[in-house]
Order: sequence, then structure tokens, then C-alpha cells
Amino acid sequence: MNLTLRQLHPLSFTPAEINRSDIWGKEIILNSAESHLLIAPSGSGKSSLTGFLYGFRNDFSSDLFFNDKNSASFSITDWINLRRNKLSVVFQDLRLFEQLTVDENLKIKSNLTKNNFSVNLDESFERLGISTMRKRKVSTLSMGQKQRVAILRALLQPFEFLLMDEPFSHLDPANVKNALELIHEACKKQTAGFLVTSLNTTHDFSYDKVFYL
Amino acid sequence: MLRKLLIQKLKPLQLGIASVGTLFGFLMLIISLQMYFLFKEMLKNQKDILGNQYLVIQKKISLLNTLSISNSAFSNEEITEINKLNGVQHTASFRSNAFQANAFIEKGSNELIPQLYTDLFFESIPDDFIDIKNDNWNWPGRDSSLPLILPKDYLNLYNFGFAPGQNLPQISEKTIQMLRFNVRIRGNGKEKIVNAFIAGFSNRINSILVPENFLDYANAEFGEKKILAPSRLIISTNDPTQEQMLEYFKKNGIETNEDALKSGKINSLLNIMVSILTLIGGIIIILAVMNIIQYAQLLITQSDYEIRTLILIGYHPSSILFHYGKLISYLIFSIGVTGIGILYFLNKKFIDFFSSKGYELNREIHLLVYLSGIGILFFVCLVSLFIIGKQIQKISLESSGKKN
Repeated sequence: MNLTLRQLHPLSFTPAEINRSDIWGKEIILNSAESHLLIAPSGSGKSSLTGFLYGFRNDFSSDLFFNDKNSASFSITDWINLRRNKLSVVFQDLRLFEQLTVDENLKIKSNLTKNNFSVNLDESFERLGISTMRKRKVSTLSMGQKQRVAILRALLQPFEFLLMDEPFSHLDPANVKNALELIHEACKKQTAGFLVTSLNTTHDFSYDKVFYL
Repeated sequence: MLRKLLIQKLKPLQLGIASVGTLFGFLMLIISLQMYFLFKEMLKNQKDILGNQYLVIQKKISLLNTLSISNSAFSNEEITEINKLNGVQHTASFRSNAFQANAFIEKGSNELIPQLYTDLFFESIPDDFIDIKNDNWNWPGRDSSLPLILPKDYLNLYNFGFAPGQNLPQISEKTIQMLRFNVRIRGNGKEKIVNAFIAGFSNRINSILVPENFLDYANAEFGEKKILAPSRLIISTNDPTQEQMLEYFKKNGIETNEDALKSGKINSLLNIMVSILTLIGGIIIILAVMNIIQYAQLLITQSDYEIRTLILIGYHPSSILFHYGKLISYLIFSIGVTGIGILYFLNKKFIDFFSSKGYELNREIHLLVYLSGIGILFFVCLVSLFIIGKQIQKISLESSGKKN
């Protein structure tokens, strides 16, 4: 599934802001099966882009296509099917259920997809270094631990494209490396692409495409 | 897991208040309805005991009557008009004697009974209107004993008014019914003495009654004057409070016995009370519905983050609504069962109480009470699900970029 951004830009942006960007107001194709990095300072619209691509924001002008379908024509059910089968996400604010345990958080997702996902759960816990946290309530975890739970949750579904909004902001380089490897493997298995947004770093990973917002 | 997530957001206190509020409203409604049916049954039973209610009517006596200028009798036209009034079922005239009559007990016939002589008058009405039903109340013919019915008030006057002051013994109904005395009727140049006794005391009719066939016979045999138009009527009515009837009486200077009217007024007062009770029940159920709607809204507001996140990670709004549907159904079902249980208990107590007062009532809870109870709970269920559904729909629209 290719995501095509056709002259897309946030409604609130000025022409100067739009011109300065690699993405806004341009024709951009995010290929599935490719890795993308978006480097952008605060306030340049990283989270807006995630919101537009994941469908919970529509304060943009011009068009966004999933393959050849314009997202403007999507119904609620279309979005829900897309989110279940083709598009996964790590939100910047993670959106975990704080009052539930790590396992319960993941179960809510895996119940929905009926365990149809490409990673090995126990192994992934080990590789992300959070296998001892499984019975703990999310509210008791550190930000970095929560980020890893959110990444793992995003992998527990079939997808063709994975959106991640500053997913490593609280992780040390070793953990970022482990997480990126896990993500990359999961994507390869289902020939999926992903987009990572970051403030200023490439995480020492060689992305297929890098954009500056 | 979904249930655990969403149930954690239920605050016990809020849930408790909402449930108790709804239960209270539900109870008020079904209790008032059940009371309504019970009262209705009680009133119906009461009417059955009385049969219809009876009014004795007569015209007001004025100076004109005394001077024989005006007539206190009812004409045939008036009787026909009265028959046509709303609430009037049957009418009958009081017929009176057209001969002279007196009663006496001769000295020496019984030592214990004093000599007695009194002039008498007789009236008769059809047996259907008389509240004394016993085998003695008939007059088979010429030489048989004549039964009389006297007003209960006469006996009461004697027993509680006259006898204590005169140092005389009080007499029971039974005793006085054993007394035999003579009645002399005279007129048309003829005279006859018949043996007479008292067949009973009437609460309803304030007159000295003889069987109709006796009066027919005696009037024909001894009557000197032509038979007068009746001056008193007895009416059987199923509703002594009928406006049209009372209005007619007032307009035409007709008096009636007030007691029957009073019981009619009590009936309508009871009806009003029950209506008010039902109205209050209705208002409370509306408040209860509003209460649960408020709770449903509050519930969704408090779970906004969870619902929004579930939709964002791929849950369909309808599966979330389904979960709330189950929750609300359990809640409403428990309220229904508890409410009916409490009603059952109260109904039993109530009926036991009234049974001890001599009312025989149907112990079952009326089917309509169940039906309207189930109906209202179903309605509450639907309304709250509608509210919850709309809220979830709103969140899912927002989560799909349809509304910001």
C-alpha cells in the first residue's frame, strides 16, 4: 500500500512554512516496503502529519491517497478496517491504558486481531528489555518502558505501513537499536513500510528515505 | 479485557446513586399502578356489596305545600324525566295507604307487654329496592300475618334515646321480631283486624313498609280516597355523584338522603388520590429516566479516553456499544427484579392489612403492572443506549477526522 501526499499541508500553515518543507505542499509517495525518517523540529507539524495519515485529523488542505483511494471518501468503517489490517501506529502520547497491566494492554490489541501478527511475543519482550514488566500496571512504568510497550502493541497486528511519532524520544541508543531492528524485521516479514518522526537524530539506522519538515 | 477496561471506569458511588434513583422511580410507578388496581377492585367490591346505591328523593316542603297550593307529588312526566337522567338506573315510587290503620296490643294478652295503641301509615316499594331479604317478608294472602319493615332509626331511638330515660329494657332486633300485635284497618265501611309482626329494620328506607300485594289488596278493599300520586321516589344509581342528576334535583327543589352522596364523594376522592399517586409516580419515573441519561453521559465522558483509544487502535464503535448494552441490560434487569421483589412484598403486606379489615382482594399483582414495569425499563434501557450510542458515534467521528 502506497501513501500519496498530494500538495498536502496543514490549514494553519503559512505559504512560507509550506515552502520551507520537504513534505508540505509537495507530491510525496510513502512506499510500503520502504523505511522513512522524518526529521523535524518542534512545531513543524510532525504530529499533524501522523494525525492526517492515521485519519484522526482532517485539518489539512488538498489530498491524501491510500493507493488510489482518496482518504476524504473514507467512512468510519473504512478507517477502522484500515487500522485493523493495513495501518498501525505508535502515538506520540502512546495512548496506553494506564490502569491495566502491560500484558492486558497488549491483549486488548491481540484479541482484536485474533493473534494475527508477525512477531514472537515472548522474544520481542526479551529483545525490548521489558519482559519483567509484563504483570506491572502501565502507570508504574517509566516513559522509556511505556514507549517500548506502545511499540510492541503496534506490532501486534497485520499492517502494510507503520507510523511512529517520536517513538524513541525516551530511549537510550542501545534500546533504540533493538527496537528498530525488531520493527524492521516485522516490516520485512509482511513487506511493510514505516515512517519514524524524530526531532534531530537518525538513530544510526540507514533509512530508505529521509525527509526534513 | 474490554469489559475490565471499561468497568474500571464505573465509579461505585455514581453507579449506586443512578441505580437507586432508577429503582426508586420504577418502584413508585409500579406501586402506584398496583395501588390503583387494588383501589379500583376495592371500590368495585364495595359497589358489589351495596349493589347499586339508592337515593330516596322527595320535594322540599314549603309553606305553599302546607296551604295546599303547591303539590309535593311527582307527576308522571317528572318521573319519566328523572328516569332519563345520567346515572339513574331504575326508579320506583313509594305508594301509600288510602285507608285508616292502627296498631294495638290488648291488655292481658301478655303480662310483660304494655297495652299499646297507635295510628299508622303504610308505604310500599318494589322488593328489589328493599335491603331486608328474608323469608318472612311476604304476605301470602287474606288471613296470614302481615310483615312490616320499620326504619332502623326507630329501634335506635328507642334503645338509645327513650328506654334509658324511662328505665325500660333495651330490645334486640331478634326479640322485637318475635312480638306479635294487631293491625286494624278500616275504611269504605269495612274493618279488618290482621295479625302483624316486624320482619326487619331497614337502614335504607325511612318508612313503615308493607308488602306491595298487601297494599294493593287493602287499598282496593278499604280505600276511600283515590290513590295519590307518589311524593317520594327511590332511585337506584351506579354513580350518586352524577353532575346532571344532582343539578336536576337542585333545580327542581328535590331533596335526597345525603349519606349515599357522601359515599359517592369518597369514591371520587379516592379516585383523585390514586390519580395523583400515579401522576407523582409518572413524574418520578421521568426524573429517574433523566437521572440514568445523565449517568450514561457521565459514564461516557469519564471513559472518553478509553473509548477514543479503542477506536483508534481498531475497535469498531458497535463492539464498544455492545459492551455498554450488556452492562446497562444487567443493571436494568437487576433493578427490575429488585423492584418487582419489593412490590411483591409490599403488596402482600398491604393485602394482609386490608384482609384484616374485611376486604377480600385479589392477591396477584396485576398483569398491567408487570407489563408497564417491563415497558418503562425497556424504554429506560433504550434511551440510555441511544445516548451512549450517540456519544460513542461522536467520538468515533472525531477519531476518524470527520469532526474536529
